[in-house]
Amino acid sequence: MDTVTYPQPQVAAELAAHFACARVDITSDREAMRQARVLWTPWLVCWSRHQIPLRTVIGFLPPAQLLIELRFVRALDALRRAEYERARSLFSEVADAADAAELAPEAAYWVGIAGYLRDGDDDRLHDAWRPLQERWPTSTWAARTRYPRGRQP
Amino acid sequence: MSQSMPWLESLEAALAHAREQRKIALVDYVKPG
Repeated sequence: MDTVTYPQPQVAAELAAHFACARVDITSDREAMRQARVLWTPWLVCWSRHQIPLRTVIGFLPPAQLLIELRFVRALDALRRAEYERARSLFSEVADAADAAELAPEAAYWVGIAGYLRDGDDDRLHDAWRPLQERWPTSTWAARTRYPRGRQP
Repeated sequence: MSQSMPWLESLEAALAHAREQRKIALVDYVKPG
C-alpha cells in the first residue's frame, strides 16, 4: 500500500479531502494484535467522525480498488449523517464504476436503502432495486431484495 | 500518515483528530518498519 497505492495522486487527493488518516502499529505486539482483533495486514478500518464503525477493508488494494472503497465509505458516512440524496448519488457512482467488481451489487442495494430512508416509499424501494436484480441476478445482494412484500424482511 | 504510537493511544488520537477535522477516520493497522 505504501509503495503503490497511497502515493497514487488520485488516492492521495481523495484521502486528503475526505479522510483523517492514521497509522496504528500493532504487529510488534501479539497482545495488541489480539486486543485490536486484527488478524492480518493491510487492515484498514473507517469510522465516522462520531466514531461509528463504517467499514473494514482487508488486504492489499491497488489504487483503483481503494478509490472505489473510499467512495463506498463516503456513501455510508453520508447515510449515517442522514444525507440521503448524497449517499444515493455516491452509491450509484460505485454501482456504475468499471472497477467496482463485487462492490457494485452491494452499492446498488444501498441505492435502494438510501432512497427508502429518505422517503419511506416501499414501491420506490423495489423500483430502485430492479437494476440490481437485472444486472447482478445471482448476487447475494439481489437475493436480499426478494422477500415477501408487505412484511418486514 | 502519522507516526506510530502505542496502539490504543494512537487509535484514540486518530478518532479525536477525525472528529476535529470533521472527516472520516481511516486507521491503517500496520507492521512496524
